[in-house]
Amino acid sequence: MTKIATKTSNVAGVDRLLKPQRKNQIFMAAPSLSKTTGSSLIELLLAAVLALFAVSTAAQLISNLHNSGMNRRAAATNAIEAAINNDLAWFRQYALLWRLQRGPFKELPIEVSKTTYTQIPNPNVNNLFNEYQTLSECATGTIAMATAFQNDAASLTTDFDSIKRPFNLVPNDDSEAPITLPALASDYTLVRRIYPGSMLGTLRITYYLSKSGSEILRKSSSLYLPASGWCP
Amino acid sequence: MVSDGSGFVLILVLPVALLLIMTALSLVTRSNSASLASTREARAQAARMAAEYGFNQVMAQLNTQYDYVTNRLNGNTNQIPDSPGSSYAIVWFVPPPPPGTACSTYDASDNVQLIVEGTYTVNSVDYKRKVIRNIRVCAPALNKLRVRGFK
Repeated sequence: MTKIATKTSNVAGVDRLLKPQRKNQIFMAAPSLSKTTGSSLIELLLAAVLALFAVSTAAQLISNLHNSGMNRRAAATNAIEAAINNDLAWFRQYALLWRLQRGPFKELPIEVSKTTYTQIPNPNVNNLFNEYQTLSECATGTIAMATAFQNDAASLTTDFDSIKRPFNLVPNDDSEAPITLPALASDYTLVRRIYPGSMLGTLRITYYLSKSGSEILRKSSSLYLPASGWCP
Repeated sequence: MVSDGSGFVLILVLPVALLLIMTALSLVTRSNSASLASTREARAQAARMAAEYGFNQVMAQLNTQYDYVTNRLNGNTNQIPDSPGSSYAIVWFVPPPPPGTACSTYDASDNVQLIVEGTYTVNSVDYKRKVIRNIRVCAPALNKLRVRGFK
């Protein structure tokens, strides 16, 4: 709805100077569409865009906060898994060397093998066989063999070429030993216990993960002593 | 009343805002995917650990309890003590028929394939991993076996 503005009289003779202003007012908005009574479509769209932008920013902010928590937990989980794997890998490596009498290695210190070691003559890919000592613990039982292994592992306090000392404390009994975790998993506490296995030549290694004093995970693995395969 | 300016807003600014929202949503989705992948990997790791546990137990069983006639290894599921949700089962093991290679020298042995499957169950979902290894066995006596090595 528009209306043409009426021409006003100007006795001062300056009506020509006002012409341009009048030209701009040829079309006037009807009261129902005037700025004072509502918003234009542009304003509405701009408001909508601003609102969407605000929602988007808030979503991103919430997402980032949420993500940082979840990513931190995921990183901590990975670090804990890696710590357990490293710890187990050391025991497996040492089990292969424990009481080894003959093998492909050029030399193996007695502090590692705990027995006299010699290299296989002319080792090649076809004869890389290990030979282990016949253990006296074969006759005395499961606990004796597991204890002997654990004691020897606990006594390794020097780095050798064939094996480094254990990453974490190895006690002589089934007491708790703390497992070192990286800083990103510092909220958690991981400990390990070693028990004789249910069968000759095995040990059970159990890891306990806790946070703020309450246990949240318990995992058991086992260790096989290759030397037990040489019992009579 | 629709002006040229509102057309500009509709065509350019509105899609940008929508794009921002989509970006935020995709960030949430991607992060959840990473977190889920990490959780799945941890559970798969638990299943692998169960399979390793089973493999070690089977080798110890071969050394101590195995008898070709009376006590052959079976494929039953065995729960792992002190490890909730973890179990293992022998999937494949065909022992050499007696008498087998005697344990006369350190390198006398038969190669046998052993497959053990570890399972980690959480919220009624099973995560499974297999360990497939060749073991060297010899026969110290009739129907008995000793594990001389594995790879």
